[in-house]
Amino acid sequence: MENTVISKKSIYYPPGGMLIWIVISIEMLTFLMGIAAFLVSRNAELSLFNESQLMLNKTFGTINTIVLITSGYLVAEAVKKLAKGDSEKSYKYIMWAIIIGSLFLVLKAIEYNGKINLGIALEENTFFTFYWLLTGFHFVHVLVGVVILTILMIQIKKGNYSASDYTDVETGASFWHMCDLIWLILFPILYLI
Amino acid sequence: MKITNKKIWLVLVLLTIASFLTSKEGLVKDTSLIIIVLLSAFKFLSIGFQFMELKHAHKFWQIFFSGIIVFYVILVFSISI
Repeated sequence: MENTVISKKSIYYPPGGMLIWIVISIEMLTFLMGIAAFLVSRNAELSLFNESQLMLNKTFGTINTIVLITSGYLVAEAVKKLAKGDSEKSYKYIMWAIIIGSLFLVLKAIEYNGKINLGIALEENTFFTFYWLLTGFHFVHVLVGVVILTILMIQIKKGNYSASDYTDVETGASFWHMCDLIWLILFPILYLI
Repeated sequence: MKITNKKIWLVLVLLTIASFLTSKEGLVKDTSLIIIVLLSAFKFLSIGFQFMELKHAHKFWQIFFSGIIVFYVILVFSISI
């Protein structure tokens, strides 16, 4: 059978493959619509949104952003090492990406717990309805991302990928970066502005 | 100067801290919003082009990806300013 070499410059092969980019596009569009709805509601109830935002911990949010960025960096390095045929280093990078990525979930869980203890639930007010829905939806994505990275780590350890065959890892990495990108547009809107 | 993942990571961390400090500075609300949103847009592009390796991808995907964040910036500015 004739081998087909797919060029990375091909329009049919974005990083990670076409399918993950369809997923990324849909997810980004969904979150952008959520952000638009949040901003429109914010204009209608500006003082309520500003007061509610003060109840969020900006320091916590900033640390979580750094955590996700760091995890994204480690995943990028894992893909790079695999592309060079260094499975051992790739495995270590992806393992640390999972550990640090999980830290995001732990910190978010602590933040959620604090809100629940204060009795701030989904129906508290419009701001917190958006807060719970947008960050909760993102939380689930990160959780799924951790599971995907864990599966990839196991496969790398088993030696199932090589420098000439690591598309799955690229796809999983793209999903993880998407979690990072969503948080980057969500965090300033909810916590900072 | 070669742009590496590590250098981009460092820039992203510093910009995240800058966003945090900007929000605490007590600047005029619109000025603070513009700075924070533009910093986010820059971070978004950095992750896409460097970590996701879009810099090696077809122009279509580079433009498509950039379009997402341009749309976000226009959306936030048009509704909030």
